[in-house]
Amino acid sequence: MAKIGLIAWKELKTYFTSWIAYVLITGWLFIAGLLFLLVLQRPQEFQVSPIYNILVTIMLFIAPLVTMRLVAEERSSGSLEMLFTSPLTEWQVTLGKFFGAWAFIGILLLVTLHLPFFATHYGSIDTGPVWGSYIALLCVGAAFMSFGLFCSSLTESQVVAGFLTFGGLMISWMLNWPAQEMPTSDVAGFIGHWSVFSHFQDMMRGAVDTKDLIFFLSFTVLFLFATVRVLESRKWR
Amino acid sequence: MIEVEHLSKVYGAALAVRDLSFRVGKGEILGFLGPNGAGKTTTMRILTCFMAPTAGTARIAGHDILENSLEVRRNIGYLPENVPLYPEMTVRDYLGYVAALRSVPQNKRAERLEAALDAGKLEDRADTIIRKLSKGYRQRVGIAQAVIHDPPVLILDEPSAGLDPRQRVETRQFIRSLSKDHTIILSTHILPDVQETCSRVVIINKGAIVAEDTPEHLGATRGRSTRLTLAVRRPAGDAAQKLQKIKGVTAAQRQDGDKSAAGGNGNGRDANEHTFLLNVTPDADVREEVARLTVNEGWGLLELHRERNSLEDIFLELTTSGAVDTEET
Repeated sequence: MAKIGLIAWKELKTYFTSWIAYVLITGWLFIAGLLFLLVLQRPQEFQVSPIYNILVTIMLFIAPLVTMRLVAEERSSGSLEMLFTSPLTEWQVTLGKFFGAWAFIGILLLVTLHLPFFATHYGSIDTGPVWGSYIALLCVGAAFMSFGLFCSSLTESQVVAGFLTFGGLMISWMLNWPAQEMPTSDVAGFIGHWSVFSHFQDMMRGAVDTKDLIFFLSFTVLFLFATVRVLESRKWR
Repeated sequence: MIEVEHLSKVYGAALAVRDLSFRVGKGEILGFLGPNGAGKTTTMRILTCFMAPTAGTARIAGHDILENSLEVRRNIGYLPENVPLYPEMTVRDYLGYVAALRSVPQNKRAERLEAALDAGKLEDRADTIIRKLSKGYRQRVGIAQAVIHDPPVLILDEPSAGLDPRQRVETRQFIRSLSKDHTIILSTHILPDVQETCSRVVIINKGAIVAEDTPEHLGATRGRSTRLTLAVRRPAGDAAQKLQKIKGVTAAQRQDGDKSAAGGNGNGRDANEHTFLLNVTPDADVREEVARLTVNEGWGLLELHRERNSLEDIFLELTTSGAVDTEET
């Protein structure tokens, strides 16, 4: 467990040794603030869920940037050899990198906490959807990070890893489109069920359903497991 | 300390390592030589548990690489050919991180960190970001990370690559000093390093062992021919032909006009000194016959000197002549 924490902490610190963390946090904060202002100016009753709904889409673009280097860079620089000739298991390396990337998503969410704080301080809002939205974003973040980590483990090229992650998440998003356009269609509903984007809407309304949590947990564990298998495959190739 | 038994590795249809078996005792430094693509790196990656063999196994410090991989890795310090570094970290942070990954107890980390910095002669660069280090310094960080947890077994792939001559000498001395308490496999293309450092040498070619011996014994017994240098005062015109008729002499060549070939820049040689270079088969000692012929013919014997084949000669011969059946499956 200590080694997982060690790797996670190293990964998290690495984001802040380059411009990427600062650019992402700045862009994220700017967009979140802009969305907050736009929602605030609407004549309808103030609701937070539209802000977080769009932030999930923004996360789709951020996920490849956060995850693309996780394994691909180690593979291309040769430091993967140092990791796996140290007394570490593939699960320790995978979980360490996953938690490091997920912690960065956690920081992105932390820096937006001032928005609901302002809303509750200067008005009155239902806090259920706020907490639900943060749980949803954490779940989506975990799913995106595990998928991105898996894509990064497949290649030496960070660019390829980034495109694979973005492409995969786009497909996941598109799986939900038919269900949104044809809500009565069973086929569209079935396809949409496999999309990450169909499992956080209820949470953002404040209703955290166990089946959605299990979906995100399963999705995340599936791609972490796949990453471990890819890392193990170096031994036998 | 290291026991390799019938190790083989197949990549697709190519046999990278073929039935390798050797042992390295405690305190021994084994030179692991071979041309590029011979299977050295693959073997070292198998021994460090980075990859698994297709057949065979190995035991490091009593632990099997397949059954007890984590324990093997605790006992190994490995410097890969491409030094594994995180350029964004400082040398101190990087070595601290590696020490923690390799389970160095918290209360010993500071002490081990200082020892590793000392091993790599990195004290004055400890707080420099690795990205800003020269290639030589990066190599030294690689050596430091390999010894940070004070493992009983060290596997070093090209530790002197990128170092200047002074650093190379220091690295050789450092490796020799480690041999008191460590078992070392040293792979390098710098053969003088092997000659000066290693107690034994394994040469592989196309995945198979083609020679295993001490560097001195290899020089004395291996190789197709050894050379004799003969210096005389008054050679006859047919001296070379007569020398070549001696049993065991495969070639005799007059070297006049190339004094450097006769013995070091022509120092001390006068105009009436003539040299012959004789190639002889390794199992034949023809010095007595050559001396007798020279005296009987009245050529005026000045010098008769036998040159052993250098490790470089042996390496080239063993790795370019198809010394083993190298047909790949």
